[in-house]
Amino acid sequence: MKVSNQQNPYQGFGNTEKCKNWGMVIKVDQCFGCDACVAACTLENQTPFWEELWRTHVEDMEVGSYPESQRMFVPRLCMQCENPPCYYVCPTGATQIVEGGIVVVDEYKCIGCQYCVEACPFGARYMYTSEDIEKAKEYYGENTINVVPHVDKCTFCYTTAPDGTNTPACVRACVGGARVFGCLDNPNSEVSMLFNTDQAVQINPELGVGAKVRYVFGNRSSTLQSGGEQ
Amino acid sequence: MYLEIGQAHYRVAVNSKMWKIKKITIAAISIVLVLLALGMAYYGYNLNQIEEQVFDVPWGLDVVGYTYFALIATGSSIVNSMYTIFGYSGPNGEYKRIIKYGAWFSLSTIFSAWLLVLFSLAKPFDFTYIFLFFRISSRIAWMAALYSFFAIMLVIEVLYMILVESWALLKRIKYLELAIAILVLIATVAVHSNLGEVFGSLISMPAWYGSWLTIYFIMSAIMLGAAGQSLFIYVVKRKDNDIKSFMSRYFSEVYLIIIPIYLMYLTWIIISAWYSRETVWPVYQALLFGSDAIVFWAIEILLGIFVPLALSVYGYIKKSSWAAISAAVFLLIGGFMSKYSLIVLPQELRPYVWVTLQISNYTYFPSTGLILMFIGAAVLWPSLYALGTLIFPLEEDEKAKHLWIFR
Repeated sequence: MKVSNQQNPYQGFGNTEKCKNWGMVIKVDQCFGCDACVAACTLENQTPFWEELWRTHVEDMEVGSYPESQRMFVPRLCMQCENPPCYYVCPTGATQIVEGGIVVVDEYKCIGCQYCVEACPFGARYMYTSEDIEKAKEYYGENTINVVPHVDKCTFCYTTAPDGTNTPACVRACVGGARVFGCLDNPNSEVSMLFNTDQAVQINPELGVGAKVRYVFGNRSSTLQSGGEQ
Repeated sequence: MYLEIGQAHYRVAVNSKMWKIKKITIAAISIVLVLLALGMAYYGYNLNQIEEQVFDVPWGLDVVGYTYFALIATGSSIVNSMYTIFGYSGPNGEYKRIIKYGAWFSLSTIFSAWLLVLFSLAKPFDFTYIFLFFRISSRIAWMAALYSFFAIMLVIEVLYMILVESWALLKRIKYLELAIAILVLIATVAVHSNLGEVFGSLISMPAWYGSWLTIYFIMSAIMLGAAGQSLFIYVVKRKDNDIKSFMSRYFSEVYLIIIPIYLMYLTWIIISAWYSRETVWPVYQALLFGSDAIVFWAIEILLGIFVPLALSVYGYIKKSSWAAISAAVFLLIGGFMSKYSLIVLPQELRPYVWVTLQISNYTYFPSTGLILMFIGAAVLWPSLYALGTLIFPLEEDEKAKHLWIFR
């Protein structure tokens, strides 16, 4: 069934100005660690998996101590902060906030000082080296999307998603429906409704970065939700 | 009698010729070493691009080396300001006889720092983007601007010191020398303040976070700058007993003032870390009692602080050159290791709260490329200094003979 733009919550995603704040809510309870999102992201964005570097990955965590320990899978990605520390530290302006509030890197402007890698409190950035570009040609063919060495990060598939699908690869691939993506400005969107509940928590809110990726821990311990120890 | 006069003239002529040959040989070796150093650093950079990357520690030996040489260069300028701004020239004007060497030391050291910071970039030849697309909120952008300003001011200072000997006009401009010296000092303090904030403004690295790093860098810089300068000037002036005696006493005095303050500050930093967030203390715990404890206690504290302190006391009382020089060598070794720990250790452990407190346990070892880059910068340092002492008229009252600034 063809969904019209009016009904599509992800309408206009990509190089448009239809939404000022794209965001994501991750339902931790619904993630069972299949890593389909990681694989999808790797193929979509040609990330250097041979170095075990990802734009998104799923952390297999065990929290608490026996017999009250819990195991959970927590997907990690760029938090698309409102006040991104990586943006402010970039000396050349390679890190930019584009329409939709998405933080992207202009690979031609990036000089590879890695200050943003150090500045990111969520460890969401890594260096895409010239060696990786050569390796990428072996795995992804000659027409690779990463052309020059630069710092790479999740962009909600900003540059690759406007192919008609309108959603980041990880969201499309998520089997458990753990990743909910959409426009935060639209009060009727699922992501907006989840985002604005008390259940959706920011990781390390004391940093004041205004993360636009939030987590719903569901039945998990409430102390975990604040990012503290159990 | 005529024969004796003839023999004396002959001996002077031979000595002069020998001295010239010796100078040309040293200059040739210096040039070769400078080229070798640049080549080695470039080779190291290229090797580093294709080697397996150390992603857990993005700022490794290259950034440590850059910080180290930057601190030596700027610290040397602060030490020079004792003469250029505050007018201290020693009991018999000895400082005036070495000040040009001191200024040239600061300038020549910058190049090693620049070499490392340039090749620490993935695209070093795109560094101009920093100036073309300058982002005002970026500390690294300001680092580039302030460091350039510092270098320009140092070039002006060295040129002034050389040109003033030949151009009487410069002497007539009142306060010009003082104005240049004050600008150099302002640039130095600005560089330190910004360097501290490069690390200290990162909320992602609690072990670096805070304004304390600026003060720490200024103190480290004075220690390292004085040590480096005394070592290099000593080599040039090793046959001048007056200068040697002055330098032993003066630099020992500098160490005796700065080392206890540094030690007190370091203690305060550690005590503060004890009371700080759970993400800070693990780093200091590893430094004091864990994986890096031997390096910290044996090299940074014993060899880098207490041994130089004892040697400085001896050097000051006895006016002993070897004691002052040994203190300088130990300070340089200890200073390097302390910067290494400061920069690398928080990245190895990187304690942070992500749902729960997480501490990585990565052991960093620099890649071969980075080691070659560092060796290149380290070789460039004395080579460039030696070359400068041979081609620039840096002696007291010495006038340039060629192209206004050359011997």
